[in-house]
Amino acid sequence: MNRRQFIRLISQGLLGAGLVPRLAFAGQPNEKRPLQFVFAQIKYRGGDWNPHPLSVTPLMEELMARTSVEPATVRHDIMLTDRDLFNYPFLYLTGKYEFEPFSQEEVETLRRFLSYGGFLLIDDALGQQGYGFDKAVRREMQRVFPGNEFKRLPSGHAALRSYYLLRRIGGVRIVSPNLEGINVGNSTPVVYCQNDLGGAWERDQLGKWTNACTPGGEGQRKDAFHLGINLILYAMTENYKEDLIHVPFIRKRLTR
Amino acid sequence: MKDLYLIGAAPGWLIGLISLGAAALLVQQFFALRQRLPLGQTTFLIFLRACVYAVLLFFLFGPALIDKRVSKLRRPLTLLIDSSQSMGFPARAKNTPGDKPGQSRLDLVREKLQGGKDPLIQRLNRDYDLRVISFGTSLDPIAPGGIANLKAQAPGSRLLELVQTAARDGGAQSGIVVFSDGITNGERKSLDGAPPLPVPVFTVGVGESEGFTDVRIAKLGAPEFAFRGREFKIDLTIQASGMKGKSVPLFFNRGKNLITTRTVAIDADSFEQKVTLSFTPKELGTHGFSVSIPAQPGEQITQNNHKDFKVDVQRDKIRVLTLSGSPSWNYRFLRMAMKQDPLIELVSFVFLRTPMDTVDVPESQLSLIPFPIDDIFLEELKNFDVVFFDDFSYRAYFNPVYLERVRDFVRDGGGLAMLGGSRSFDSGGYGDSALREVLPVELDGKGNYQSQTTVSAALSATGKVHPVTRLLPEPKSNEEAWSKLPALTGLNQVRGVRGETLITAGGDGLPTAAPLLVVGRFGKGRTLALLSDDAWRWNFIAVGNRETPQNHLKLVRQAVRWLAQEPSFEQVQLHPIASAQPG
Repeated sequence: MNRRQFIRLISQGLLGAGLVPRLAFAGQPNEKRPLQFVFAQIKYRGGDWNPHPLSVTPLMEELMARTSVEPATVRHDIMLTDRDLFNYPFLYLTGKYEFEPFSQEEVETLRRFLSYGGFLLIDDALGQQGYGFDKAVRREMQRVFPGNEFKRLPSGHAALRSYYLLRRIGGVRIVSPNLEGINVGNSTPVVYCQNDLGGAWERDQLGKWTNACTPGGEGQRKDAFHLGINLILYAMTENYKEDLIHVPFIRKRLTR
Repeated sequence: MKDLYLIGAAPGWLIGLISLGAAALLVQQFFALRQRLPLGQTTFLIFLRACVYAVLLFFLFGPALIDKRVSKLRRPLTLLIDSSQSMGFPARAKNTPGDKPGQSRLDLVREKLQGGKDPLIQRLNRDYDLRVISFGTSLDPIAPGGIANLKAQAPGSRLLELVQTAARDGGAQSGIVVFSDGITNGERKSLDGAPPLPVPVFTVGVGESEGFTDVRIAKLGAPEFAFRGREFKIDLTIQASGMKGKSVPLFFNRGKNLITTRTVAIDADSFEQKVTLSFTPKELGTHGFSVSIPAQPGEQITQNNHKDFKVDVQRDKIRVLTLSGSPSWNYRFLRMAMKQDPLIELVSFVFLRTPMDTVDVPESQLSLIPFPIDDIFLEELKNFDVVFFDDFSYRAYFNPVYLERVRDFVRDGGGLAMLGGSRSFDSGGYGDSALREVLPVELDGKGNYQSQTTVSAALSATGKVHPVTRLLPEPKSNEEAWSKLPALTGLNQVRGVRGETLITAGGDGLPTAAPLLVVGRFGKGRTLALLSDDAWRWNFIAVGNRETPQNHLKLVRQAVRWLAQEPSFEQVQLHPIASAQPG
């Protein structure tokens, strides 16, 4: 039971005693509560599409605790050929090893997905530039967006300011201090992290962290959670934090 | 004088014959009567008959009496008397012996025309058909006696233009006599190059041009309308005399609020400078502005130190405010629809955190900004055209009193849209708020939000012809487009509908024809209720189905235009004229 569920339970007890207005928590039972976000992970052929099977739930719990988003606590696994792919505008692609090329249909579907409002977070669990997963990802994204290469995200990018004001990129290991992304128009529908974010999020059944984060330890893990939350909120609000009304506030906080 | 004329009603020969006949008749009657009467009586009777015949003959000559009356015609003469404010200046800068104290230039004109035993105005009135016209910025005829009551208060003097008008429109006349101090602020500075005047013009100058102290706003060029949020400029000309070496402040006000001030340095006795001021209006409507220079020490006339003008501020974009209860895909695609529309200016607030959420870092490491409740609801709301409540409940964030401002905003002509979700309509507590009477659906506090269901959209009869739901111009294609839209998965149920249902929701477990999209009116404003938080599926799922996302984008943009009462989105009805026949 997480904190929010606990508060609901207490409140519903008060509700029975008539101490809280009836509508205050007129929500649905947990299993049918309205979900605003589902973390969907891409299954692909070859390689290892699922290096951290328990990584998503801790991130979703963190998302629920810190933000107003109501996420599903378990992830949804999906293939690019599945008919309901577009029900999940946020996709997560991770792995350690080189995988088989996408079919032409998958490439076109992914291009359509990303061009019309979908978002893809790519996470390299191996962290070897030019080898394994990194090599396969760069090859496939070139097929999805020919001529549109990964570029380093500037420090002022909206994805780094969508909730937390991020100055560092976390993960199990710091292979790169920066994120990369592919820009389409005014947005960045593809963000690539090589620091193994999933490894930092993952917790075993007993609640212990599966992987140690080096060299930054728990601070580095915290950064990984912050980045995960930021990227989810960026996907759902796009360049919201670049609206003029936010600029002076953010600038003031960054200059403190 | 009257004269008698015989104009001859009958020809002369006829009159001669009748005369001879009458004479013969008289002779014959004389002898006939003499046989019966004495000579005296006979002679008397014949005399009477002769008189009768003579009268008859006289009328045959056609007598006519002509009455001749002779009167002397006077030629027109026009007196033009300047009644602009400068004519209220003292007649002379320094009094000389014999001057009346406080005598103005207009007083001097009056004295010349009306003074003395036999005033000039009366002499002119005797000899001419006298027309007296006062002028400032226009010609105003007055009676000759009205000169005594004439006041120098016209706001300017278009001297040369009005002399031309009086000469052109006055017809044949002896001439025009102009009484003026010669100060003009019309467009024309001389008559060089102008067509010659058709009548002689005589000018009588009054007053002196030297030695006066005055600063004035001579000309003002301001637009009649401006766009909200865009700078407009006003051009004015400052003139001054007798103030060399001084500096005067120039104030630019909107109503009583000072916008800006300038200092004008006067560097010549006869000074003129053009000044340009600018302002960016933020509120719609007609606003009163003024430019003014405070009265200066020794200034003879202060009325010309101030000018008022009005500017009608219109919008060039539809300003939309969205309040979203949390980040969501609905917000993501709503934002996409509005941001890509050049006619829409979007200001959005997404509540990224609820009061129940905790953070693990100091506030300074968060990008969250405080929601400016007072600024939005008390100050800025009137500057928006449409407000969206996107799955947003006020309860955790502000007092419901602020919703009364939203109600007033709609009543005064604003647009309000509420999108569904677990924080909207009854689920958001709006059944107990001021928006209950505003929304086009009936709330009773019992309606709930149903998620993970299947909701298909169907156009109602009203929806088929409504501009919000017209995705395609052809009615059949439009219905087909709606039928192809992907199903939604969430629905807010409400007790009933107060407005017009454009789209109904169909699906298992749903009541027949449950409302999905409803529009209504409140006061001068418009309202819209979309009873689902899933409309983004009409966009992105359609893309996945290899259909166009344009239907969703178009729906959002048309809803915004309709709510903002864009003229192009007004519904019109065409009625055939019963009596009209083709051809």
